[in-house]
Amino acid sequence: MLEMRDIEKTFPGVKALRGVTLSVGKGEVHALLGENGAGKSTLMKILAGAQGKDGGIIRIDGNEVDIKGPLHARELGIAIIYQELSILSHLSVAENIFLGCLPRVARVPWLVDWKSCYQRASELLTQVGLDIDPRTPASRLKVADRQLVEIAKAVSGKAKIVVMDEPTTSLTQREVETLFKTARLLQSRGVSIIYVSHRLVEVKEICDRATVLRDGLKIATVEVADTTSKDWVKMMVGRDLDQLFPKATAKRGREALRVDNIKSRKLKNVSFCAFEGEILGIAGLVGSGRSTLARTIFGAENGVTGTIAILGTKVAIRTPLDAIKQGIALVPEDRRIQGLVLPMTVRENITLANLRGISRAGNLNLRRESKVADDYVGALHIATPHINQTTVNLSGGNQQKVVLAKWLYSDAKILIIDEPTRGIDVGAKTEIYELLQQLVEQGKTIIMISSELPELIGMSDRIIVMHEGSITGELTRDQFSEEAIMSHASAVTQ
Amino acid sequence: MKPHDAHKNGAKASRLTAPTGLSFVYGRFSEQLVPAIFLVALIIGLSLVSPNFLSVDNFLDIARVASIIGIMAVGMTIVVLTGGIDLSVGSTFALAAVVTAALIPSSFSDAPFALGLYLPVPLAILVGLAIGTLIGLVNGFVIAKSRVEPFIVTLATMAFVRGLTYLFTGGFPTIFRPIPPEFAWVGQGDVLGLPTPTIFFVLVIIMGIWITRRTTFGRSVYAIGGNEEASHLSGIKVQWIKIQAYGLMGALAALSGIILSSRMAAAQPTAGLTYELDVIAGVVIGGTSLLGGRGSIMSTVVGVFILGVISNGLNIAGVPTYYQYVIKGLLVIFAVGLDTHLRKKQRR
Amino acid sequence: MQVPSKKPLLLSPVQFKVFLIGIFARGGHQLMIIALIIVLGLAIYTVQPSFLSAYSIDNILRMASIYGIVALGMTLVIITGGIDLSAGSMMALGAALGAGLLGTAFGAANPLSFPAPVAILIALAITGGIGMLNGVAITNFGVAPFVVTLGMMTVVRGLTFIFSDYAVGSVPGSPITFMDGLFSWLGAGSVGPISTAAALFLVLAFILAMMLRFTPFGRAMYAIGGDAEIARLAGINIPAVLIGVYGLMGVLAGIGGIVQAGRLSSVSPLMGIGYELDIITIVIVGGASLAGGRGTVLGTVLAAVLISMIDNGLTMMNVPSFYQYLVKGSVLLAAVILDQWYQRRRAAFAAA
Repeated sequence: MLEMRDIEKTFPGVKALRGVTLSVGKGEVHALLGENGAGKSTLMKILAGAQGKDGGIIRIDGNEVDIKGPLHARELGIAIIYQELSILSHLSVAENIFLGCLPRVARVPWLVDWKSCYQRASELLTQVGLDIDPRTPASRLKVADRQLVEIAKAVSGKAKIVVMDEPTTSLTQREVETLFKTARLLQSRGVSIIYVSHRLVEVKEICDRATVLRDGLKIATVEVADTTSKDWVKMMVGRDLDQLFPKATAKRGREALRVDNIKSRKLKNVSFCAFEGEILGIAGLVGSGRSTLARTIFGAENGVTGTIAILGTKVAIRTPLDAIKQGIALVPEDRRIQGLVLPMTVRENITLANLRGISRAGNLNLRRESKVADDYVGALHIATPHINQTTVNLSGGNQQKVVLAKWLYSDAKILIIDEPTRGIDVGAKTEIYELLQQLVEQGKTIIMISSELPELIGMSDRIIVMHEGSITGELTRDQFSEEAIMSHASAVTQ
Repeated sequence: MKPHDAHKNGAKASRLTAPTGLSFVYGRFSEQLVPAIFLVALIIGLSLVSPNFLSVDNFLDIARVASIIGIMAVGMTIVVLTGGIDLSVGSTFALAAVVTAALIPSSFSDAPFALGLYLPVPLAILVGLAIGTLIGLVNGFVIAKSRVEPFIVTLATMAFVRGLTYLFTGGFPTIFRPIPPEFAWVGQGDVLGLPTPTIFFVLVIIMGIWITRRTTFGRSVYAIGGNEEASHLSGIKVQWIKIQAYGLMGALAALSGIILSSRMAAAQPTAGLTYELDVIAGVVIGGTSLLGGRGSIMSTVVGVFILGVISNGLNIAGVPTYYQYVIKGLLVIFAVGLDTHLRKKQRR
Repeated sequence: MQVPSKKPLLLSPVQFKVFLIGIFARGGHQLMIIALIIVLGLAIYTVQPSFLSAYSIDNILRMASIYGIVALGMTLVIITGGIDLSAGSMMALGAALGAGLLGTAFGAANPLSFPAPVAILIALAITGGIGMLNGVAITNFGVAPFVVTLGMMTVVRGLTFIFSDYAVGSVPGSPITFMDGLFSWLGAGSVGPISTAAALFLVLAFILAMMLRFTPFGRAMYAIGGDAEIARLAGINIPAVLIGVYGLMGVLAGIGGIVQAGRLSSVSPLMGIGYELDIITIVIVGGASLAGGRGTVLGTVLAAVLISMIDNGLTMMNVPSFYQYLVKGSVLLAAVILDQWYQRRRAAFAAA
């Protein structure tokens, strides 16, 4: 019932979509797969009216439509749930669901009919499996519940097509299952779902057919049931899996970091150690405390007890500055919000963690800064017209490289990376892996937090698994397997 | 290849594609370009309308008036760059002025309460500056440590310090019998033909440019305004930098107040009332963003002069004061609107 | 087939409960203000018994009403995440226009003369129109509310002076003095046991509270203040709402000015200078957040009473007027810090 034919879209400098065709039937759950940068988000934004297209035709139920904006898309029956949820915390759940379309009192259309609003909201909430009072302020909901509210919002407008853009990124296993139940329910009511993701496990469970994009082109449309894992990887990445991860075991050196009995509001007695020359992977489900652990070691969390020792000597780390002085670096989960100062230039971001290196008595040496920035841009192959370019316009991969350059310049010995390749296209991913490999060969220590199991398995020397604030398992390279990691992550006792 | 050895491999490639010549100038100064062109257009327009406008004496007049607001505007720029704002500058202006005046030996006031202490002029000025700095530091401390918006904190301080000023003076102005020559020099003297307030302004501008472009403090200020969380996670001492920024603002407000009281040969408890608006207007017209992270001292200087030129030009053209208000107000809106619009277009 | 009878909307249990929830949404905060009012009232009474006399209370409420009416408009603006620094100037313009257009000002030079109700309507139309211009500049030209209203503040003040001169004609800057029944009734008169000003204030407060809670226009204000982009994607017509809000602010500021004019039977073109501090203090102490998305009419009403009590109390205790600055500054700061602390406690409690 939906057909997008030969869609084209060009942004300055890059052709995001080069003639992509997608068709979805009524009541079908259709996956849209591809690595970051393949064009999935752009295609869906065009469908949702948030972007215009440069070429191609869109047909709904056989009729050609020209989607003029988000409102128009909504009227046409297209609802999209973005990754960054659009929930207003200060309003009630019901009001969020009916945002912009609150039910009006019959015959007095300038008054809101709250009774009807709460009633209908209740019904929708039951449908998506959320058992809460619709008058609850949205601020009190957990992230997963907010997503269900988002779905209720999408369905409230009698949507015919619901697009879910990477819906499970922040959900726990149980919450994912609730999401799937809701999807199947919608499906039974004839609603079509476009499920945008790059997580094959989920696609296999819930989708009927899948379209794979790569570099702005449609590679194939397949029946999910008939496709093997190898086929998927080949389609999405274009090369074989083992070529992706340039792993070679580096020589293990001294014990670089030792963490003992860390306790805080979210962490329950965490202890582990990491060595020079190794990549220590940290796995776990969303909410298991991995990022909190990283921030704790980096001094960015409060209310922590326990000890941290660097090369055998106990150190006190209470602020990020303390951590930096001890040679610890943190490449955060969200580089745009926590890693980069977007309005500043490449050179300014690169030197930000080590201003002392380019200054004397508080005075900056701009020439030295240029040199340092040039060096790193060259060494890391950062694609930018010049070092005075503001970072806001760089691609995800290059932004991540700038963040890495910053920490390299701060002469960090222990690098904690949280989701190293999130939102980065395939080509840049491999570059980042190669970089990490080089670093451990120089004797540095890397602690890598990731939700991408192939990445963890491909690059780590050891993996520790967390679950609800504690470490539930440690695996050596010969013990690596997705099943082993997942069972520890869900704390399934063996 | 180790990153540190990168330079051996001709890593200068990135510099080769850097813009040169005209595009370089535009890139570096584009922020100040629009307001600057606007200023030039204004000057040309006004000199066509009134022939008296274009004279050395007149420009010195403009400079003298603009200096008072300008000195504060430099401090305000730094505060705004961190993403904050300071509404209490007018009150600090007044308090520093009255305290300094009271400490000067030949001062006189009808106030029932007298300090009874007199200091040599330079020391009296230092005390005034210290008070301004102290108020600024308190502002900075509260803003940094609590999570209350700077607007509210400095709104409260503004009221509080104004109250202190009235309390201290009993509501009476302080005058001098006579004004000591060293103190008079501060506001009424001249150096090589330029009035001393302007000299101070120029010095403050130079200091401001140096701070924002060439010190780690200045770099930290821009970083905090651009992204406070990322700055914190990069080891920047966010709280300390903010405290210093507001402290500097307080000092400059005090300096301005002292200079004006020297020029007027009197320190009024009502001095500086509504000055914060002129200062902020100057900063904003110049193109500095109230959100922080973007702007420069030179932009502010241009903005301050735009306001000064307009006031002066309208005065000379004989436009009644009230109409000047209307024009100035519309100008602020128009100038910022233009700047915002062009900036949006640039980003496309 | 039985057609279910429709109960009158406001009395239906659900609607009424909703109304109460809305009003007490910031329940803790409002209770705190009420507690402060009681404590302060008693404290001042012990020092100065006449503080709680009928005359004094009437005065307090009258002043609270004048500031409060303008603060109501400011509340709406702050809920949408904006601010309006031109409020004081608009009060003055509204007052000057209203008084000047009467044509009965002493020493008047202008030929225009309208009956009081018409003069008031014209004045409010103009202040409302200027308010809408604020809204247009903010939405269509994308200029920050702070900057737009900063500029407008100066513009309107200039216009006030210009018109004031036109209306009076003699000495520039002198007040317009006049005598009019309607104005005097509004500013200095009473409706039954309470002053007209207070009655007007309460009526306006009630209407606006209803609007905030029960109309899409009001709900849109909260949405925009929460996150303008999300509101836009949900289909809310942001320009229309903002232009309406700033226009409403203009009208309310004009009303405040006119009531003030009626109270003194004279309008100085300097009226309202510095009022922004008081009005914003009232709104913030009342529980709104400058970031937008939060605020209630009840909070503003209570805060207006509290601030007025402080003002009048200090005067009655013969505290020199400039102490008021000290006190107001401290009150504002204390209120906000306390609120922060309270929020943090609540969040910690909820998370536990």
